[in-house]
Amino acid sequence: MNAPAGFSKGLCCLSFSSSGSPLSQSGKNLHSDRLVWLNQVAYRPQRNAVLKAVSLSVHAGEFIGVLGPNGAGKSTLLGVIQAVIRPASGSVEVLGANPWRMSETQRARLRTRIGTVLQRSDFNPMIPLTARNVIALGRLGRRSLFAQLTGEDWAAVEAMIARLELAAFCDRPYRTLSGGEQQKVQLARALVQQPDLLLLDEPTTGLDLDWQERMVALIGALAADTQIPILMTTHTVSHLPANCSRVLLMREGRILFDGPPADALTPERLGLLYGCPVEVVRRNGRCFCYGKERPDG
Amino acid sequence: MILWWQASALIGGASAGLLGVYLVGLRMPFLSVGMAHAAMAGAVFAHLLGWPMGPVAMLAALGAALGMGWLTSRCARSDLNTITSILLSFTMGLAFLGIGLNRGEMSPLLSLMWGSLLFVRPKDLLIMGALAVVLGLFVAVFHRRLDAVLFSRNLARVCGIPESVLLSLFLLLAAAIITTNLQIVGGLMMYSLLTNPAAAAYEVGTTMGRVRAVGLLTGVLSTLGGFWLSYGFNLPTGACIVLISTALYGLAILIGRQLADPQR
Repeated sequence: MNAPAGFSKGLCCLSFSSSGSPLSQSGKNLHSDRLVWLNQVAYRPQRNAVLKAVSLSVHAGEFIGVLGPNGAGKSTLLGVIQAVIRPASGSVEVLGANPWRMSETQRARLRTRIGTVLQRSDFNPMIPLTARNVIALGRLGRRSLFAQLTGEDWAAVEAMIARLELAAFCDRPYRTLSGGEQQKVQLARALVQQPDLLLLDEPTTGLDLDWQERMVALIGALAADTQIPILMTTHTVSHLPANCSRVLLMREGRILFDGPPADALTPERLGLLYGCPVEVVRRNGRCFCYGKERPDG
Repeated sequence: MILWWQASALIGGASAGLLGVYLVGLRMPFLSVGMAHAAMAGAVFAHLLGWPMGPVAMLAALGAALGMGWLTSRCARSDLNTITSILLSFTMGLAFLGIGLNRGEMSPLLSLMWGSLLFVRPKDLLIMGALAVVLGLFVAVFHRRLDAVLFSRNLARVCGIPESVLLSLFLLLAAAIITTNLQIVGGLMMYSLLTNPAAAAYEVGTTMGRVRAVGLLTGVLSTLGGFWLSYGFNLPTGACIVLISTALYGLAILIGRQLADPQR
């Protein structure tokens, strides 16, 4: 029996059992806990290829860092998994279903099972919602279209406020919060959905150094505590928490490498990824990458 | 009869004020004016062809609303405001073309442009009232989901809120309300009644509940105040309504500044 094309081409860290089922390095059958499967997915808005034949699978318990320069297609990849971007070709399976064979309402219901933290700037500052209101939005999609939030929903919101220590600013208007506070609120909003999968789109971008470190620590702790599978995009190597279990290196719409962090985050691979010579320093399980001075100046 | 006119002003102001909160909050300023002018163009051509003006105006506004709603979600390359302003100028051009072609009585067409409470018939008032009730119910049921869409359409989408369904329903309702309210302020000034009270509400509202309340109240003050000014001094109603709503917006800016910085 032949292996599925997506596995044979895209996933260098997988092998196959004699029955054809993909096996992890530990020999575990992966079909049973596969949450996302993309096979040869391409996306070409206005004939401009943003994703080119991307194959990927995500399994329960994985914490995947998606690393690449600006314009690599990282956010588009998350958009495809989130079922907000319809690929031009290829197969998509998210949480056991093809979202593009569903009605819009069914797709919306699927999205409630995927917690997503978008990039920071994406909100209307005119709308005076408090941080608590924003967190509660995460519960809205879980209810039917005509239903209101219940006491159970508000209890979940309060529990998340306590868990992420947001009480100090949860009644302030969202627009008045600092960038780091806003990202923390967005993380709470995604988690209060009780998602089966968490997608973080550059959660540390635009934050000051203090908040970058706090977010990295928080995401690392969440991954360890909740065991929710996470896909996190970033273009900064040091923003990947130490417990990140797998790294995708993306450039120009392609996955250049997919494997464990120790193999992905080498000066050679990162140099190819960013198109410049780099120096890599590892400290406490994290990896810090610096651009090296070019010989030609 | 004066009671009917006041009731029209009250219902029209309340529904336009509340509707405006969402149209302004969507940050699509040309959406409301585009719908208003499409309705006006529809009514003008219906008059020319001898068809019933109300239903044709509503169909034209619905078509514009759905077209612009589609553009907001599909149009990726061009600036949305550019496209909606092109549509606005197109519908305005159609309306003026229709007026130019008209060889019959001008007063019904002029009333569509400038509006007058005096043209509102009891049947119109009932329709306006019914639509205002539908809008109130729609907001009561969906206010949190609508707030989510205003806050961020992308965020609403990723939270699993069917934002395109909600937005389409809202635009249909908006088109119906705008068409029925054309008679009060007219197509040319409808934009102000949808924008000014809502803009005032966002200046002073610290929660979405207050924004809705202030938008509704400012809409009512604008239409009732405009009606009394027009009635008392024999002035055009639409113009009076717009001037009062603009004055209220100016007042809201001052109050908003005071609220933001009490030391001023």
